[in-house]
Amino acid sequence: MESRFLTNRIYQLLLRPDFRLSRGVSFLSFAVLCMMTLASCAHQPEQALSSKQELSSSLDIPHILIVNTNSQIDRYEIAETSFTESLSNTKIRVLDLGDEHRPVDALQDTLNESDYDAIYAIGAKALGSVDYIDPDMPVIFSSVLNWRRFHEQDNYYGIASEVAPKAQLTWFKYFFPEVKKVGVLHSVDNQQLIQDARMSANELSLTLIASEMKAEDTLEKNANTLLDQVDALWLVSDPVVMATTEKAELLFELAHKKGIPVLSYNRFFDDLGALLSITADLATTGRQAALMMKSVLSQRVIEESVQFPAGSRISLNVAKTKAYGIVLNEDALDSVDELVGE
Amino acid sequence: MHKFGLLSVPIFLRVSFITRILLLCVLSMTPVSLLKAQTSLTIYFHKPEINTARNSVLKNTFDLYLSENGAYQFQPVDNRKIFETLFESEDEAVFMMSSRHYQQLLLRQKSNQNYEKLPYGQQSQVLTKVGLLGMKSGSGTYRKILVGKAKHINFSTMTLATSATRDYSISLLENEFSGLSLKASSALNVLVVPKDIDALMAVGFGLADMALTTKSSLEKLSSLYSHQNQPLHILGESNPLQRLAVVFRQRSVESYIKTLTIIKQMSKSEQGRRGLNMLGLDDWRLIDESIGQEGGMSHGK
Repeated sequence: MESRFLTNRIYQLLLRPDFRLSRGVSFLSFAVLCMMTLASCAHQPEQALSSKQELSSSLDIPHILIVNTNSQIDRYEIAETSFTESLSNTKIRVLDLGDEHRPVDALQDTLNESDYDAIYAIGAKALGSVDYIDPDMPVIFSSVLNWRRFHEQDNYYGIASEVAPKAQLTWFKYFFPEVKKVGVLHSVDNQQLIQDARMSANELSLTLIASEMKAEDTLEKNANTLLDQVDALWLVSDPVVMATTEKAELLFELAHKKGIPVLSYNRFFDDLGALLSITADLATTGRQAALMMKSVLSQRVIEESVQFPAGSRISLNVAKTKAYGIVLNEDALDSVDELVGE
Repeated sequence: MHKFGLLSVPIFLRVSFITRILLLCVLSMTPVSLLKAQTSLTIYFHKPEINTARNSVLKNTFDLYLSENGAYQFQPVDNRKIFETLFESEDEAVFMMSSRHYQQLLLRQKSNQNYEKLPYGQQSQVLTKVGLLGMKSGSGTYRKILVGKAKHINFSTMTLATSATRDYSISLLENEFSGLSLKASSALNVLVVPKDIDALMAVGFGLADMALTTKSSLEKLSSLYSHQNQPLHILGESNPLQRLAVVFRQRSVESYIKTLTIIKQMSKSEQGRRGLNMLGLDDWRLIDESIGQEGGMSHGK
């Protein structure tokens, strides 16, 4: 229909009086132009089609580079797998920095080889290398302990490494409904976190007793004073309080002597005798990063550039619940991922 | 040197040597594996709403209880297809699965023409008996709910947090909820989280727009925040869904009754209660077997 309409329009144009003089010349020029166009199309029809397809596919399918600190390590591999499985219709290349002694060079070479729309950096080595080059594209990260450094950085988005303090306190209350007073040792670095946690604790009818420590303070004295006032001790990732393994061990020893259970933010502390640990679920973190990637690529507004993990992995030391005589909500067992100390 | 030495040995000697080693390996493994296969009864478990990361803790807890009662083992199965294949092929096993899943399998079996064409005797060589139904606080059913911070639903733009797989969640929303229009379900962003409470917290923290969770999880969370107004709206509620079903495939009635009794008595021991709690249950109810065979799951005895 459209081609017939166009033919009629051209014919009408050629028949107009002001066109009559040059009608023969115009018609000839038009005919030659049509023939040239047809000839050029007839020459390379397949090539024209394939280049058109390539163009449309390269425009439609995002190209993502995953930079993994070490794909051989479980926690990084899980995040990579769940991220990849959650993204369809995407071209993904993985750069494993596990055996790379010069990770920045390896990353730069990879970036030079192809055009990427965004990067997913897994682990500190990966994110550190990406940050060093600072490519002009969105960067999404996960499994990075010092993620707060990238919180306000333009074009950087990510998933924090620990479960939100509010979620941790909610789980504590759910498992141990009779715990009323929770103590926490922290440095000035975690002042904001403690302020937020205090509000969450209020909402849960918990009293949060916080004790701020300086680097020169003695852990033993501060810990003993705090432990005398609380039903449970809550560990937060803190550069002063948990500066060394020895300090962590001492804290557990002091709490154990006073019969105070320890609630922790990482499964690492299970071996030291934590009663309950709430760790981020790594597969969920990878899925969350994939959703964030989709939002970034579709230029949707992201309210929080760094999100807390949506999934939790919970380990419970049943022997400790008995040893401390703490009341356990048995309904909560349907949320336990690991029982330790059996 | 080593390579040269090996090559110099005649071929028949090498073959004979390798065969002997392989034979030794097989012989050393066989008694243990065969003994286990012959004597232990496997309880297969599959539930898409339970995170596969919990398989290990479920296996340990159930195996501890079952080991007190004989040669039984608990085996969670991640993959739905593998579980269904086991369900169709194993003739001496127990299966724990959602009642909904069991009903789907029964329907599929009935619609299978080849099965219908089989002589009656061959169809029922091993009877499939639904013996027990999971209970919680005296109820054999539960409801799923769809909750969100906003009062409206848009499946093409919103993100749904759920503890079940994407396919299972969409199937639930399509078949068990009324009044929801899921035409744009392919565009729905799904964030799979390990637990129902995680899904609720994901909405609370703004990581997802909606959560597909259980009504009891919302009640639990609300009770923890008793001093705070609940900011989540219930956008839809499912039909009552029956809890976990225990399906027995055993050749003799004696074995069936023995296994059923062991599972039924879980609530009477500490280790058994822990296993039940791990599944979000507190007891089992004996149900009418004849109704179970017909595809219904009504409560019986």
